[in-house]
Amino acid sequence: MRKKQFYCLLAFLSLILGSCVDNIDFSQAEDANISPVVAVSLVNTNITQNDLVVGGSEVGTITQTSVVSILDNGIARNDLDRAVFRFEVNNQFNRDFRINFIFLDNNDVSTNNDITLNIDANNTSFVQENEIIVANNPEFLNTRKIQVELTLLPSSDGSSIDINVPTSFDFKSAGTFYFSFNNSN
Amino acid sequence: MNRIFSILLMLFTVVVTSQNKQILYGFDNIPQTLLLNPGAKTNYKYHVGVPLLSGISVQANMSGFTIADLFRNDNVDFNTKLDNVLNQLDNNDYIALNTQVEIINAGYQMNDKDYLSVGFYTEVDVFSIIPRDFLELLRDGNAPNLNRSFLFSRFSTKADVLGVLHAGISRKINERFTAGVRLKIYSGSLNVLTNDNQGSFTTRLGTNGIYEHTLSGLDLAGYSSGFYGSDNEFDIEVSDVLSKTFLGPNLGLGIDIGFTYQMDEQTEFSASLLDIGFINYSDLLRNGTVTGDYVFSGIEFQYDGSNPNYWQDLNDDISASVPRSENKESYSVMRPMKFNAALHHYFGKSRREESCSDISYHSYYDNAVGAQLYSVIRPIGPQFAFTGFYQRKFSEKLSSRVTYTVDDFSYTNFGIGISAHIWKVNLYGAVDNIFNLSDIADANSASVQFGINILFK
Repeated sequence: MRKKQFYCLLAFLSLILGSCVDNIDFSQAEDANISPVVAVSLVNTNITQNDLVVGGSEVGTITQTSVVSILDNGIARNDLDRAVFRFEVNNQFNRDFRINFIFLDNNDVSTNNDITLNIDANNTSFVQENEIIVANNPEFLNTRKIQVELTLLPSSDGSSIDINVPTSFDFKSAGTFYFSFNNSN
Repeated sequence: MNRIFSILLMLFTVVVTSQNKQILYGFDNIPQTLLLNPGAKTNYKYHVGVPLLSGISVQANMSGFTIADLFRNDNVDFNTKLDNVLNQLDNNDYIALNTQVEIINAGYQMNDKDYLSVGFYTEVDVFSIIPRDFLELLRDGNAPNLNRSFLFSRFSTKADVLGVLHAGISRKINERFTAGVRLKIYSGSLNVLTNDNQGSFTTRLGTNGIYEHTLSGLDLAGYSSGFYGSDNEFDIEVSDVLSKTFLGPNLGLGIDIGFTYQMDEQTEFSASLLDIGFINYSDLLRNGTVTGDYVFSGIEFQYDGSNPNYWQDLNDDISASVPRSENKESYSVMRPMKFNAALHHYFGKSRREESCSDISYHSYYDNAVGAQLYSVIRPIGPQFAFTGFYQRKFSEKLSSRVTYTVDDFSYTNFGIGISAHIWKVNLYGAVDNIFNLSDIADANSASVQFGINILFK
């Protein structure tokens, strides 16, 4: 009987001591590469004939600027690969417009990645996409402000905007940011 | 980046325990069975557990995937394995970990009816839903998930480090019925809790902007004790954590109840309810809440001659619509209540014992079969495990039990327990999922319990 007890105990201890973790390598986690794609609306505007005619005269260029600090963090600095900006315009005016989409740093200096949109008169479904690859444009990461400079271009026939005719210019923009997180970053 | 990996690694490698000790429950009158059923029978005059070694248990479970699924060295790209694991998870998968270490345990038969047992053990208990949705959001971003609502209710985590000072009594009411109760004083050392969160995050194609980002019905709350100092700096000292497990500043009360009923000479039914109680946390608190709704379609440039601080206005608007607050108010946490019920049927009289008249039914029969139901109340609701077992007494000095358990983690969980009496020393051990022991990383669950007691009969 003593021998039976001994063998039972031995078998049980063998089970415990024989348990093992077979062929596992936690360092594989260092190979992880996570590539989220983040889409975010940026700047929109809706302009009417009243915004373009001030004191009876057409405005030439109007500008608005906003701080946008989505790139002011370590994740963007270290892990952003590229950004694709999408612009959609519904231009009901019988006039051409030009928009300069300007990325400014903290000192209001352009990071040299300006995007220009040339919108034809009555183009109600203007779409443009521009890609910025960070590796080729590292100064883009210094962007802290977005400036949208909107220029009403002269008419070809000398006509002016009639403030009594309700007309609008819708501008929308969004950025799609491609990140790549890996242990080498 | 390394921090993100560390957190992910921790998340994926921590395993859970459901605290089901189906092998020990009602097994061979081991003193630790009194912690699983205060109404268990005893057949010794007193016992003393070997300090720090009388009861050590480690249980770990994870549903939906295994460590091997991610970290097997099989020349498969890690990112492919990570994708596979995320794809096979469902919204109710979780991880849990439970460890208990008895510091001291002793008992004394006060008279013919009553057995008093006291002790102190420390416990670590972690339970967390795997927030699959948000892991996918982290992996893929919102761009490929337009119109998909990410629900904050997927965040549910509860973790405790505590000490339990307990005293229980098992009373033999009559020849058939034994009942018991155990009072517990909990001393919480660390706690983190977030549960019952509400709200969602959705990105859609918009009308006012190209995208519309919506935080809807946000109602989030998180509580912590012991992690942050008075200056709100993360600060944990191991010595503080351990010292607070014994009658520290976060106290609670609990009770265990149970009984054993001898239905006939060979059949016994027992049941217990454990950890009916709570802990009130009031030390080193840092709690936070976030509520509200918000829709963002982009910054609206006005071109009206002014150039407001759009970014500041946006932040102010979000803060007003989705207010965040912190507080240091005390809070109470219910202990995860457990339920055990088991039916034993003994058979196979031992020829060598037939002449004895004063021995227990346990001792009279060499074999038993039975079934056990276990349930624990978790933040996502009750979890169940069903166990069938066979136990065999080889001699008065050696008994064993083999179990088969079906639960959230496995349909192939076989366990084995052994209890040996050498002189006055009782050694016991139990291990689950024995067919996965050779490669435990490939198991969804694993548990080990062992201990050494001195018994005086």
